[in-house]
Amino acid sequence: MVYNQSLAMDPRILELTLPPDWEAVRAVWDSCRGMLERSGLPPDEAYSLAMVAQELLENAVKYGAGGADGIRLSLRVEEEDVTVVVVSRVGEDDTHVRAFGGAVQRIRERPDSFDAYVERLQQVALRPYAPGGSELGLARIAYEGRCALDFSLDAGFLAVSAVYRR
Amino acid sequence: MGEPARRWVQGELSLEAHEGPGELRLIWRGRSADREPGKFLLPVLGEAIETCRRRAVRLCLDFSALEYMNSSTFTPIVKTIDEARRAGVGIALEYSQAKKWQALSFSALRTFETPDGQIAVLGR
Repeated sequence: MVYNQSLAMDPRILELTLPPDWEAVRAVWDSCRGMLERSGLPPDEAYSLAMVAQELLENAVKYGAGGADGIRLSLRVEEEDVTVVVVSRVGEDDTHVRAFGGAVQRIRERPDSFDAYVERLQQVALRPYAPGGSELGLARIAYEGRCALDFSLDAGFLAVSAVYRR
Repeated sequence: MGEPARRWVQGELSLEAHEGPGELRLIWRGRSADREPGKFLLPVLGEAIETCRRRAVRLCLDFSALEYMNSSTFTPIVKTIDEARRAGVGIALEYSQAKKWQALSFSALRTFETPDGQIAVLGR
């Protein structure tokens, strides 16, 4: 399921390359949660940040271009923060990237992540049922995961980061 | 809680139907992490709403034993709340306050609560 797992000597770093496949994303839950707990995070925080990694990976599978490059996941636990980064190739059509950037911007502009999350839930209630595109995952990362979101685009790869201040 | 009257399974997720006084309780167990959870959930939940409407009982979605759900699972849940409201069926969402992720996620769903109690979100 995992293309590559770096053998970092530091147990507070986990780096994986996954095939752009839903089952592969589901399968790394235990690796992420286990690494976070072994790094000294309380169980609730480890659970929450494993959720953040899952949501970012799911987005990469849903909206990425796929291909042999796979999806790269990095988890780093440091004294003052925990950083989750997911890097995936995006297609030539930049519709998703522009929508993604707008969603991140909207979440960052809201002073209260709870309000942003509730707003997304209310939007889901108002629109006809459709899987995907709700921005709930990003809002959940900010609210439930208490993470600051950011992203960058470089040479066709979208890197999304979520930083949790301990 | 005795044997369920009915049980549905999809991947790592199961829903168990228990019939009690004045309610139909659906107990969620395991993990809901499908790419499109609505494909499985919406027919099951729609059938549950119809059963409750016919029997004039409340539908209780009991998440307290659920281990994990992805954000895509919230969409069919929110749609089910709306479907129950339009069908005139009372609906309660119960979650575990001892599980931090549930306390955070489900407390946000209180935005859909109604003063008359037709829609209720309850931490246990």
